[in-house]
This record gives sequence, structure tokens and C-alpha cells, in this order.
Amino acid sequence: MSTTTRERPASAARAGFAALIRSPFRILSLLIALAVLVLVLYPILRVLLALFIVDGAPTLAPIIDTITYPKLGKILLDTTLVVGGGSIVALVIGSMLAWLNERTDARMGRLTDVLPIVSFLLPVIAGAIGWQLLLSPDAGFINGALRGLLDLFGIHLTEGPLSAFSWPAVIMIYAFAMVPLVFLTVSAALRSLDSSLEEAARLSGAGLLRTIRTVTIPSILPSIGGALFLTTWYGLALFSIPYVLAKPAGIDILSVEIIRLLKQQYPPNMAVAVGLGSIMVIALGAIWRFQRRALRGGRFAVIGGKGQQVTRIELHGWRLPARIFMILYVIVVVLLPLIALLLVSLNGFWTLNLKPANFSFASVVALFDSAASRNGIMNSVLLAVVCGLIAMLVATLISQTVHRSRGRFAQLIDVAPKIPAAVSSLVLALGFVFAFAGAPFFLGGTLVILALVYIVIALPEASVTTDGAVSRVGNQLTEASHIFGAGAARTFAKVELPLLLPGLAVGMALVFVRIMGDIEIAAVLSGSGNTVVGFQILAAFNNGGYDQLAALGLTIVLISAIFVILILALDRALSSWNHPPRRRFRQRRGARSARAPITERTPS
Amino acid sequence: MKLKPLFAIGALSALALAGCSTPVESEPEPTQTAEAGPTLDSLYAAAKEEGSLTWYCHDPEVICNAVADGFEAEYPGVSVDVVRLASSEMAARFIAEKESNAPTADFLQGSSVVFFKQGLEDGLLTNYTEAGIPGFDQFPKEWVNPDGFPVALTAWVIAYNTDLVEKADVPASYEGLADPRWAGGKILMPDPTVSSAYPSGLATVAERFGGDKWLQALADQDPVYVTAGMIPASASLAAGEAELQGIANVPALVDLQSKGAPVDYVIPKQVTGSYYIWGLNAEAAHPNAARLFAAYIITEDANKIQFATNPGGVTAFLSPGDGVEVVLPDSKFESQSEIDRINAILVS
Repeated sequence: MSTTTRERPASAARAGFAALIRSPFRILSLLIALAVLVLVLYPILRVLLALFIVDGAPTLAPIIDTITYPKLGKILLDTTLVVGGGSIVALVIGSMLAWLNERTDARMGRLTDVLPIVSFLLPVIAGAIGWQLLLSPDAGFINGALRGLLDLFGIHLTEGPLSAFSWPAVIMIYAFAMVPLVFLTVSAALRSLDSSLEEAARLSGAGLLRTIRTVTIPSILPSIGGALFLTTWYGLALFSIPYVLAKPAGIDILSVEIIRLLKQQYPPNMAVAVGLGSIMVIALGAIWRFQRRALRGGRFAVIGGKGQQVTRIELHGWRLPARIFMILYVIVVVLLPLIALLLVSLNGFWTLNLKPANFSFASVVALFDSAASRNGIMNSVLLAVVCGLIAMLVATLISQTVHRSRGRFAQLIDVAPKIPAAVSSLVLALGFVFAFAGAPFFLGGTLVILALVYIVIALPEASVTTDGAVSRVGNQLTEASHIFGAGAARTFAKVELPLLLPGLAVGMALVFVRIMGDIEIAAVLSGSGNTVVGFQILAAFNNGGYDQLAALGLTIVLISAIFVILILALDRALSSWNHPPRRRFRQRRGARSARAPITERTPS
Repeated sequence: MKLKPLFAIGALSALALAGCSTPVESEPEPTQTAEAGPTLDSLYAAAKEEGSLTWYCHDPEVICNAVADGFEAEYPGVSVDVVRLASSEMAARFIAEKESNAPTADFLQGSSVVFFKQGLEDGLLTNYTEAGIPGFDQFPKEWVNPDGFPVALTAWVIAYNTDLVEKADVPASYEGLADPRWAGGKILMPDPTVSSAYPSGLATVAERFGGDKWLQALADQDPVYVTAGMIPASASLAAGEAELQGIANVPALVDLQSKGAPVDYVIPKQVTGSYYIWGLNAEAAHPNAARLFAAYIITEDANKIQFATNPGGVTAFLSPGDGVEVVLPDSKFESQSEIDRINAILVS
């Protein structure tokens, strides 16, 4: 992060490379950073190599097979429309929610801070199936309710009026999954943007809309670009929404095609799967360049800094509708699918003729009776905790190392944990199949290969959090510790880590939820021997029916929510113990906590 | 029933096998021991030395365990380590384990004809004839595939939503699925592109109703294709998303019925289904236990345990019903090019 280098005292900067290798502990940190670089780059390299080398011989066959793949044009067009459409809708909704929450008096304290990201807790496939249950043309709950309503007005429909298996539904549901990313990115940008610019515009006579158009939006353009990159990155890898909804609508999506080639035919068609995966990499590369160029254009003025004043716009008569919109968004996006799943889980099967008298918890009981489901849940929790901790520790060490040094080398190390964010998680999973599943590692079907991928995909989120935490802690205490004769390792354990912990808790929560709710990587790398909850969800979808799946989805939501609440409580306890003055400072500024994940997400 | 005489022979041989396979303490009939008994007995003795075997099983967990329990009751002292795997992941895992000399299955049960064929050619798997499974020479030849592996089917039935359709109106044959009565999204079908079993099974039965023309007529009905396959399709059927499910898996329907869902099914006059294929690791860690289990799993007793909760189970010893012709998916529709061709007709 750029702030890291700016705030560093000159003395530390001069130390340069020498500081990197000053002690065994520093060398260890360095080695870990290098290991991460290898762990991230090697699988990606293997994917790219697989395009040109098959069974040890150079060939162009994978590329030719990919180009001549039937329906390639339609797959690319459909994917572009869905991911692009979803991104645009998500940008609109997410930015609006962020603006209302950050800039207007529609904000309702912590409630509206967290509500839009609550949907992170709901695994995407559970959401997708929830929407199928709600919007299926004949038996969808919403459609049933709408038809009942229309009946009152003498309009009798036998199906519809809405359909889950349609372009608008698929795009909207993609958008719902992407909104939290936009909300977090844009909120962070708005927070670092001094509201006095907007006030000036308004004082000079510009209306609200004109101010938004000419001042607010141009100022946060880089963040909007960043959000677009994130939604595309996330959207391209999404597998469960199109698997459940797009295929029946005749919409062909890249991710579904890749997993079909890998998992649903024998022998797997690795060549074309890799070819299609590379298209994802190229697309993300192009968007990344586009975003960089937008940044270099530099017509926006971001006036950052701490302790700036935020004057909230008073919405007057619009305040209630704005609040209703914010609450309604959460009800629609999170609660409705959850309720649909819950009803089906209680009823045992999906139907419009629900009979509350027959409701039972049989499917939940069945879930915990099955050894496979129990193992899946246990493994996921284990992986989420262990990989989360490792990722946070590795990211902290890297952030520290980078913080302490300057030059190309530090930059290289700084980039390492962020690379996975530029590669679709599906492509990463594919890379790990090539790199580690077969000879000489033979990690295929083990928890180890899953753990490695989870650590890697957790690193970008983890390192953005640790960068922020490290730069906030500063160097004075560390230097004091050195002066009193403590070594680097001891200083890290006794001084730095305790100071960093509160900042890290939030990162840990994000990473935990991410791993717990993973479907895409599980679809490629998990199996019966190394089962995780995502694999169990897919298996339930393929074999067990919706009640099992609903029970699993609800279990994930519950576990994730409990973990997040626990860790945020811990975070609060730690930070009040560590920084009593800062806490008072925060209270004075209201509940807008410096520890909220949003702060850490400010793109560098 | 066309296969009836052969079923009868099969039943006899099953009795023979069952007779021999009773634990040593109960004296077997002398005539039967003369035929296959000693081999099974010596296998059992050798298997007890090995103690256990590992079985890769593509059935649901409960069923795999029930069959393993049945075997362990029949042959005390030889235990089965069940590894439940989806058919699609079995191949990748088994091959990787063989390559890395990791512990792997002694005995496999899957549904992919291509995997078993390829495994045999590559020397990773062995079929029943090569493995010299006692009593296999009396096993009905109709139920041995061209690669020498014994097979069974889980039947594809025609399912319907009982709230929306009268039983009398339900087609008695797959052929009736192309009837105009079911045009316009009234039939649920598993997406044929997600498993090669669907196109090859459909193309095999299509040969009886006019081949590609019937497939085209089926596609023209505009069926609702369900990506995740037959079982989620049945959930949609129960919910009333469509009136019929063209091909359905019986256990899923039975499960839905047990929860009170309005679904039922008819067994088509010519019935096909998804394969069960049984084969052995060519270099098993527990070769005798594997062969003993191989002999057990194709017996009528084992079939009855394995398909106790699946009335759609059709094996050498379990008939789908009187007057029903069993159509085994034809191997000529198993190549990728054929599958692509059939799918191009079905999903247009």
C-alpha cells in the first residue's frame, strides 16, 4: 500500500536490503515471502505451459481445440453479457448503498455499515438455489404469491409471471453476489474523500445530482474501476449461480463449461479447460490494464487524510424511503432466499403446497447423521481456521518486511500475496491440479492441496488488512524494543503482533467466511476423501435434494455468523485493551470505527 | 420377458454361489463343492490372511455400507473398507493413486464404461474372466459387457407429478415422450451434456423408435433440461415445475414419496438405465479378498441388499417386472464423438 512507504521514517528506509537480512527472523520472513511467490506463480505458470506442452511435447493443440470448441463464441458472449451486466447493476446498487451510508443521514449506525455485506455469509450456491425456489416459473414461492395476488384482480396465470431461468434473473442474482464488493470498495473511497469538495460544489449552486455527477463520481472513479475489476474477477469464477440457473435458461457460462470439461466427462478434457481458463486470465488482464490507464489519466482529485470532517447530506423527505431501500435490499437479497431454503428444509421437499403441520427437522438430523456431511463441515471449519491463521501470519510477515525496506525487491515481495487477486480462483484451482495433484507431489484428493489453495486465495484479502494494520502501528515501539536489546523475532512476538492483532481480526473474519463458503475451488479439488462443506453442498444438489442442501447452507451461515461475531467481539476486547486512547478518539468521532474492514480495503 | 430363461439360469448359479459361500462351519453340499466350492473356500482362506479390502463404491454411503455388512456377515474375518466416490472422481483418483503407488482400491464399482475399458487396456484394471472369479463362467453372459466386466442397471423410469397427471395418461414407453400431449416444456430431463450415460442410453432406446428422428422429436418437445441431473429434476417434478420427468432415478422418487411429495413412476416397456460396472485392481494389495468380494457382489443375495431401497435395480437376478424388455446401453454410443453428435440433436 502506498501509505506504507510514505509514513516510514527515513532511518528505516535507508537500511534497505540490509535490513531485510539483518537477523535469522528477517531471513525467515524473506524465505516465506519467496515461498509464497513460488506457490502463487508456479501453478499459474503450469496452466500457461499446459497450453503449449502436452505430455512433454510442444504443441498448439490446446489452443486450436479451444478456438474450434463448439459454441465458444456463444459461451464468450453469454459470459460477457452476464458478468458485464451483473457488474453494472452491482455498481449501481452497491454505490448507491455506499453513498447513502457514507454521505447521507439515511445511515443507521453499525446496522447499515454491515447489512450490505451480510450476504457474504450466505454461500453463493445456497443463494442461487434459494432464488430457484423463489422464482421458478411454476413452483417458485414468489411466483405463487404473485399469481395469488393477480387472481384477486381477475388475472389468472398458470405459470410465471417471473422466471428464475431468464437473462434478467441471472444478471440480477450475479449482481446481488457482487454488491458487497462494490459497497466495500466505494465506501472506503467515499470515506477517504473530503466532503468539503462536495459542499463547495453545492454552495456554488450545483444541485445534488450535479454534485454527484461532477464531483463525487469523478473523485472516486479509480475505486469504481477497482470495484469493476473485483466484480469481473469474482463474476468470472462464479460457478454455482450459472450451474443452477443459467444452464436451464440456455445461457452458456465459461465457468460451468470449464468444470464440465474437468469433472463431468471421462477422460477430462484438460486441454480445452486450460484454454478456456486462459481466456479468463486474459480478460482480467485487460480489465486490469484498463483500470491502470484510468488511474494514470488522473483527472480525479482524491484528498485523503485522517480526521477529516464529513458533513452528511440531509435527505429530509427522502430519508425514510432511502432507509426502506437499504433494509429492503437486505431482506430481498439475504432473507428471502434463506426463508425459501428454510421452508424447503422443514417441509422435506420443495412445493407450493406447504403443510406446516408436517414441518420437521428431519433433514437437519439426517445431515448430522451422515458421516460425509459431518466430515465436510469439520474439514471446512478446520481449513478456514488453519488456512486463515497461516494466511494472516504470512501476510503480516510480508507486510512487516515490506514496511521495513525499500526498492525493487520489497516491491516484488509486496506483490506476491496480491497476485491471486488477479487470477480467477477457478484458474488457480486448475493450476494447483497441474502443479501438485500428480507427480511428483501427488497431493490430489488430499486436504493439503485444498489448504494450499485456500491459503493462496486468502492472501490478497489478508495482506490488504495487514498492510493497513502494519502502517497504523508505526515504528516507534518496535524501535524502542530494538533499543532495549530485543531481537526481531522477540519484538515481533512481544510488541508487533499484540499491537497488530485487532487489525488482523477483521481480516481473519473475512478469510474465514470466504473459505467456509467456497464452492468453486471445492468443485475442482475436493472429493470424497478430502471433503469440504462446499463439495457436500454440490453433492447434496446432485444427489440429495433441496432439503439437505438447505440444511447445509443454513449450517454454513450459522457457523460463519458465530465465528464472525466471536472474532469481532475479540477484536473489540483486544483493541480496548491495547489502545485506550484510540478508542476514546473513535468514540468522539462516533461509531465510524477505524477497524472496520472497509478502511483496510482502500486500494493502493 | 426376453431375458427370463437367462434369469432362471442366473438364479440357479446364484443359488450355487450362495450355497458355496456360506461360512465354512456349515457343510456345503458335496455336488456344489465339486464345482466351485474349493476355489471359493481357498479364496476365503487366503482373504482371511489378508484381512480386508478397499472398495471404491459409487452408491450412496448407506447402500455401500449395507453391501459391505452383507459381505462381512457372509465371510467373517474379511472386512471391507468402503470409500464412497462419485463415479466421475473415481477415475482421476484411482489413476493418480496407481501412478504414485499410493494405497488404493482393490475393487471398484462405477458407472463409466469408458473408464473401465481404458483401465483394462492400460493394465490398471482387470476383468472377471482374467481374474478367474469362481463361478463367473455360470454368470449370465447378457450381463457381461464386451470388456468382460459384469454389469447391472439402475432403471430410468418415467416419473410424473400425481397432482398434475393421471397415471393412465403417463406414457408406457419412452416412445410416448415424443407425443404432442407433452410438448412445450411439460417434460423435465437431466441435461444430457452433464453425463455421457444420458446420451448413450437415450440413443440406444431411440433405435427402437426410429433412431435420430425420435431423438429430434424428443428435443422438439422443448423439455426442461436440469443441469445437475436426474435427482434435482425429480425435486422440480415434485414441486410441479413440469408434469413428467422423461427419465428418472427410482431411489430419488421413493425418497420424495416418503416425505409425502406428489410423485410416482411407471417402468417403461423397454427399460434402460445407468450402468453399474464391477472390476478389480489389476495389482490389488489384497488380491484374494478382492476376488472374494468380486464373487460376492454379483450374487443374488448381494443384489438384493444393494438394491433393497432401489426398486429400479435391474441385475442378472432382479427383474424390472413381467413383460419388460431390458435394453443395455449400446457401447457404440459411448465414444465422445457419438456423444457430441447425440447431444447436438437433443440440445439444439
